[in-house]
Amino acid sequence: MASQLKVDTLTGVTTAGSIDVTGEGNSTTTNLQQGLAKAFIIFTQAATYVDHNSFNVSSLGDDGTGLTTINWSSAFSTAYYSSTIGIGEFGVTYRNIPALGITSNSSRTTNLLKFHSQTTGQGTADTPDNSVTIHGDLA
Amino acid sequence: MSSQLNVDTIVDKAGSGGTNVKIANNAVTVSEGGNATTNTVKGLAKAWVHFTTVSSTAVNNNMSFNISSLTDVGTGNTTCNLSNAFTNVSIVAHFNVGDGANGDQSIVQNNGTTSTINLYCFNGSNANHDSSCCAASGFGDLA
Repeated sequence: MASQLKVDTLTGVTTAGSIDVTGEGNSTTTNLQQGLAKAFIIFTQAATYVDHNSFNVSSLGDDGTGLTTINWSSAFSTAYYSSTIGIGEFGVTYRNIPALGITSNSSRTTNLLKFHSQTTGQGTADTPDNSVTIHGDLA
Repeated sequence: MSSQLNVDTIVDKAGSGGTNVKIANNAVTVSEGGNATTNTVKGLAKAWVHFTTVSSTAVNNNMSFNISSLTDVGTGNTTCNLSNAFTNVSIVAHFNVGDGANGDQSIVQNNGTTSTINLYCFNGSNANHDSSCCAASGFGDLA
């Protein structure tokens, strides 16, 4: 018989922020907290920014053409979290924008990430439907 | 009244695994640092796939989740058809290709549906190109 447990918050006993779940192959466990994406967003850079869909993002800052500050609602424990980034529009214009990422290590803090879209000429350009997903430890 | 479960390991009722465990969409987990909580279901990848578009478009070694099928739209262009749809057409999707010898690059196109993700792979000359090592994932809210 299936069972159902209703609960609002999952907390580890040994360590509050560490719960293991059994892997699909039933032979190992994986950490629940560390496997979760802690933030994601899909947004468009333009004269007026558009946040299409986001999680753990408090606001976007327009730092100029192709440059965006993404502010996190809940801070990370370290600035060295994993960011996966891409743009989401197909067209010759955007094929010439090969580099998307953070401006520099110093511009990634526990509270924000500075995103940029860089053209082949080392310039910057506004891009549509930029996707960012973050994995790492929250404070 | 809110409730809290203190537990070190989550498995199914039989105690043999976790594949039958269900978590409500408003459940949160305590963060690694213990100072915040994060929504458990929002943090989960809702779809992922590893596939090839060389010779034929196919999932590699059954490595997919929430993918019902792949559609070969054309050279370097694949549509992922999702088993369970998202609530919003703005899916946070990522796509990477590993065929670096051709200078391959990748891009995701939001094609305006909640049940498909459209992916393009192109080479260093900006021409559509097939690759043997394609990986994609999707985040967001399921319907």
